[in-house]
Amino acid sequence: MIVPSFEFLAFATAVALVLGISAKPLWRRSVLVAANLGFILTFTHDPLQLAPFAMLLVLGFAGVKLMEAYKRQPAFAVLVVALLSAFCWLKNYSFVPHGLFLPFAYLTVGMSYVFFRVLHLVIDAYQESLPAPVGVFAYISYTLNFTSFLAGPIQFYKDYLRTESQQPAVLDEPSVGRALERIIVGFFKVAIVSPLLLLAHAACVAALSTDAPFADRVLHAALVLAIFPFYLYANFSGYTDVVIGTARFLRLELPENFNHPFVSKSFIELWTRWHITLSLWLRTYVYSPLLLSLMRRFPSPRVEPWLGVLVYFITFFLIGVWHGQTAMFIALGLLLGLGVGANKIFQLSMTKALGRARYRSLCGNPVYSALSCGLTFAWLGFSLLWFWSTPGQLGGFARLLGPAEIALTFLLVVVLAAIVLTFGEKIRERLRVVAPLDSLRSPPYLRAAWCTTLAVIIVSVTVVLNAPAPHIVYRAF
Amino acid sequence: MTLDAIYQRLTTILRDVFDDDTLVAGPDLTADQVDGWDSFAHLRVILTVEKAFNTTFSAAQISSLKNVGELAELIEAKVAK
Repeated sequence: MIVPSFEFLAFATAVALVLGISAKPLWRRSVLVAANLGFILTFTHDPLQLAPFAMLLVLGFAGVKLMEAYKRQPAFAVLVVALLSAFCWLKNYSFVPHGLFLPFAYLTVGMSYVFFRVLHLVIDAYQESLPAPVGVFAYISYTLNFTSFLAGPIQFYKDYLRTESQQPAVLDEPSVGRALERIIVGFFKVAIVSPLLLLAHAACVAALSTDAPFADRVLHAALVLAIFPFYLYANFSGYTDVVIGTARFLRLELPENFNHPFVSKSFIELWTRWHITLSLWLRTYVYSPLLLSLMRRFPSPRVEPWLGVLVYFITFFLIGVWHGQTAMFIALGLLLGLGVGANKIFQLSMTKALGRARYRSLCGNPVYSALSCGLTFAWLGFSLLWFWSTPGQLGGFARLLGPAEIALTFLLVVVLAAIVLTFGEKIRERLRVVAPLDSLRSPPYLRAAWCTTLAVIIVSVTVVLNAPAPHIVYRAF
Repeated sequence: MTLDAIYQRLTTILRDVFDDDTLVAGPDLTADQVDGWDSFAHLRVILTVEKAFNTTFSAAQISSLKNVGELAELIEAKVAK
């Protein structure tokens, strides 16, 4: 099933209606478990294609129960390694010997996100941080939650339980309106905005040629770098809007995954605004434990900041590698790691050189702030080259532009992004006061007109013009 | 150990970690209100608290703390065990 699609919304509506029969925890959990399984069966009915996914789930559940009963470090370590190995094997990572791959097609959609939830349960069971022992139905309800099955958001178990069975979210008139608006806006982003941006991006890639004049070449290269982050944002945040809105109709509350990422003034800040739940997961289970253990081992105030840089690098390298199974994604990981590592070193050096107060004052300077924003965006766009292109394309770009034009393109993106994003943010702030479409304080007729317009465009394009919403990019991870 | 005593020790720890003698640990104090309290500084606070109170925190506990009040209550619960 494609998310978002009218089919998905119809499915969720049916689930919401059945859920509404009773608010009793047992009823809610039973309906949600049945809905999750029904949702997965829309991808395949073949038991063989479902078996590897089921095996990972069974291994995870057995691991959780083992950790609840037997909290021994060696068993925990073996279990984590077994889960990681099973995941990498089933996801066909390139470092796994190809001879070990399963010789048939099977379901991998949503596997990464389910894996994050399973690992969270295992670790928290070991560290006695789960609110209660995990039953099999609670496990299925949580790990396979159909509203966030495909690409998150990644929710922690305790937070999921709160609205799943303990205290379902309020579904009054304002929250229904808000959820509906969120679905429409998200659907619009995925079905209309992201395909248009992808078309524009493809046109700029096609326009890059040696025959083009120097200025055109650099401008098109800059647009190639700059458009893709916007496309990815429209696609992924649109999906997130739809599932958060949909979940609300089931009286479930999902966590936010985006918070205006392009206003970030540093690469480190970007990751607190982009794919927030993945960043939080990695901060909880990779960054913090690893850095704490290194700080305990090397207890020197002079070394500690450098340990921080190293662990930042490792964490974001893992984010890059998680995105895909090939060498291109290792390069993406290195670039992301380099981005946050260099960012942290710069912060440390500036704080040391200027002192905390003067550095804070510098960060507040509008020109410095705009340029920081532009640099952050440009580094994201540059890193994402390894996300969307092929090695052949990358080689072609490098030969076509050469080092000087690549550097000039990067600088152009920094400056243009600094101007456009800064003014864009000012306009957004102004609009929030004049015509606050995203606020409950705005007149209802204005919001209704806005959403109706978007809905008409969505229906016109997806139904009348027969151009259904594309798959979301993160579905592949 | 009383909550007051925990806050007193937390005040000493925060002043030491952030090199700021004006800091006072209170239940509503958050990372956003303290200059330099980022994810790295957060772990320095946690490590110092672990040493001072002779306790340890789980990964989930470290990341879920929203303010100093939650940290103090967590310490109180752990010390009481």
